[in-house]
Amino acid sequence: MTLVAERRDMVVAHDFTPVVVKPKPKELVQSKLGYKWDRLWLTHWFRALVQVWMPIFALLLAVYGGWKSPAVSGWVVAQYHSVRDAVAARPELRVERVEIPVGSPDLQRQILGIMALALPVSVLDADLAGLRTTVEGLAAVKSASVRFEQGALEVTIVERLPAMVWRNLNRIYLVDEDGVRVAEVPRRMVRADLPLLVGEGADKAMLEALEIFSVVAPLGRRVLGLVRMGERRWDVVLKGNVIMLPAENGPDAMRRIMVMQGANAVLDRDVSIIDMRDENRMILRLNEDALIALRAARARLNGEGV
Amino acid sequence: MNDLFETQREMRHRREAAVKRGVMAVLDVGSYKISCLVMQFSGEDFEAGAPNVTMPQMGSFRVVGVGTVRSKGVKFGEIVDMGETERAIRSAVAKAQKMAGLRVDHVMVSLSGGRPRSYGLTGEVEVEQGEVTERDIGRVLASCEVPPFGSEREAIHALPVNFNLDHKSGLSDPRGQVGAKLSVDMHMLTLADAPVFDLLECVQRCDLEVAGLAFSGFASGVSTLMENEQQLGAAIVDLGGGSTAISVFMRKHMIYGDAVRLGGDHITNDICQGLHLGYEDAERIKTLHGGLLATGSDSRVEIEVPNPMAQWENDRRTVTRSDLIGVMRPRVEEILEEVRARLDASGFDGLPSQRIVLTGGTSAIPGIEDLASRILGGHVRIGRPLRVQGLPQVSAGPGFSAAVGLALHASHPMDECWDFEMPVDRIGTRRIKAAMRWFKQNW
Repeated sequence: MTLVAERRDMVVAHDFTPVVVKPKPKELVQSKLGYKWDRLWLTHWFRALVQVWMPIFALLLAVYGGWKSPAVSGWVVAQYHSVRDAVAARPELRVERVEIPVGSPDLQRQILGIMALALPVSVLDADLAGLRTTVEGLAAVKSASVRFEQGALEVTIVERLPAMVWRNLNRIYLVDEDGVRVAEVPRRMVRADLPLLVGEGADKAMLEALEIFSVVAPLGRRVLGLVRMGERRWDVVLKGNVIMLPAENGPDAMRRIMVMQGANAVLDRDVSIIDMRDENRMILRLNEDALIALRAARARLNGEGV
Repeated sequence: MNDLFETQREMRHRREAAVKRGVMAVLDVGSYKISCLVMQFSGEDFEAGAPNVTMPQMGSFRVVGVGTVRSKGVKFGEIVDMGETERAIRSAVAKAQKMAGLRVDHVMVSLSGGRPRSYGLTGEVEVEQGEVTERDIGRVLASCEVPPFGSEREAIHALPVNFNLDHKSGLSDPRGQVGAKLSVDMHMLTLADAPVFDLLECVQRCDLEVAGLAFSGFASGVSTLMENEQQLGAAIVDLGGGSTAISVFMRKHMIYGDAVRLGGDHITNDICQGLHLGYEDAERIKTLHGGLLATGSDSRVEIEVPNPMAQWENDRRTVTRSDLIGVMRPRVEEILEEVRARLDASGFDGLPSQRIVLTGGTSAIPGIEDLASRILGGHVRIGRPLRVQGLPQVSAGPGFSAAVGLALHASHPMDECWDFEMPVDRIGTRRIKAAMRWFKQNW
């Protein structure tokens, strides 16, 4: 009964809604072209071409085109510069002072002058490596490191310390252990504490010279200096004598002399030159008085003998 | 005979070439649906330890893509509208390719139409050197007398079923045995060439290369029959949409093939006419509510059918299930009686085992087993295709047994014998003729 009632209700309501017959969904059929394209797309070489090689080629082409076209390359360069300037303008990167922790005041002044920085400057604009080579170009600087730290440019240097005085061609230099000229001085007596070298090429045999000086150190102030002879060997000039050392093993020959000095005080005799150039035969050149005395002594011996 | 020898060899080589390339598709062109399976062959042949692998041929390939579309332009398993069919094949292949992500170039095709006809051939030769060699087998295959099956037919299956050596029968591989007289029993299946050529043309229009052709009844048998059924003898009835393919297997070979030009589409047509429904609606209620065995409650089960003429929203139309069964059953009986007649003609009664296996989409009608055992006699079961690796569950029903069987046939064919050399005295003239033909065709 209820069913009938419901149905009657529906009818009475005249709720006439035509049943919508849905159109059949069109079956998805691929076009011939689409099918061919699908098959091509599934082909390995074609896929590699499209997905790998073509992007690479396009990228290379774009880069080449940008390189060639002045507008694009100019824009790229301008962009680069604007970014770089923006970064360089940061306060964190500003150099406000130069600190040189070691070195004499004179050298510090010299370094500041040669660096020629217009402070404040951005650290990006300051060529640190260039500054370093500039500072190392100074004669008195052995090595230098330049680094930026909290607004300051710290220049740490290792000074060259003058080890000897070198006189050559009427000029007098101070040289360090490596034979590098540190400074030029007007007179030798400015650094009377340093030993003297004379002669062409003396700076190239500094190690040997140092060794010889260490050997002759017990002679103290009798040592006047070393003379480089023919860029080959050393003469040791003492007050009163000259010792000619061989080209090789000069320090050893000098040691032998020092032993003889200890035993016979050979240097205190009236000898002008001790020639050690031939290691098997030491030659002594006597002074005139000693020679006369020697000859007289020989003549006397001969006379007595004859 | 030489033609047959050459074509069988050619088909075998093509298929092997396709298998070697690693990717191959099978295409089952039916009247109701077209299904395409993309197979990928792996290097190792048989993974014995793998789960679900129970037969050697299951391990060598994997199904990586499946595409199934509603068939168009196919009637009775034969093409009536080339353009429509081509489009349907294209969409099936495109679907399968898309799922696989692989491009397919070679396909094996199966069809159920073309009025198959079976022939038994025999050949006999003297064994040359006491022991049977591959050369002898080639000679005996070449010596088979081919009956004049007509110029408009094409032999698509030809397999030696049985070898006899001096009254010793039932040999499957007589190589190495000693004897004097070797004879062979061969089964050959021919199809009308027009439907075959139409189908091949359609496939070629889709830029695909045909790697093989098989009768769908044979393919279904390969996939649905158990090993002992194939050995002892069984009939496979592939109830398709437009036609019903029948084949009989014995000693693992097909010994008879035939088709009835009736199928599920005819049932649907009967429903359309008997219950005044549209085709799609008839198909729908057939698959959802169809049945063959009447029960007491059938007349009370009302099936709602769409009513395009409805005037208001509750203007409904119903049919009872007994109406539906009353329409369907006579047609199914008719189909099965036709099948019975064909099986009787084939001498199926003489086989040691009388097993009948129903498969194909129409075999899903509830109650068809009972009806079939009543009409066909013997043991009837519904055959589902063998499970192959990678096949989705939706594509593993009885409707896909032909496609799966094609895949199995492609991976493990049993026609190695066609590789054996043909005797030289029979080749000579043929080679020259082939060369002449080639010249004529290309210049």
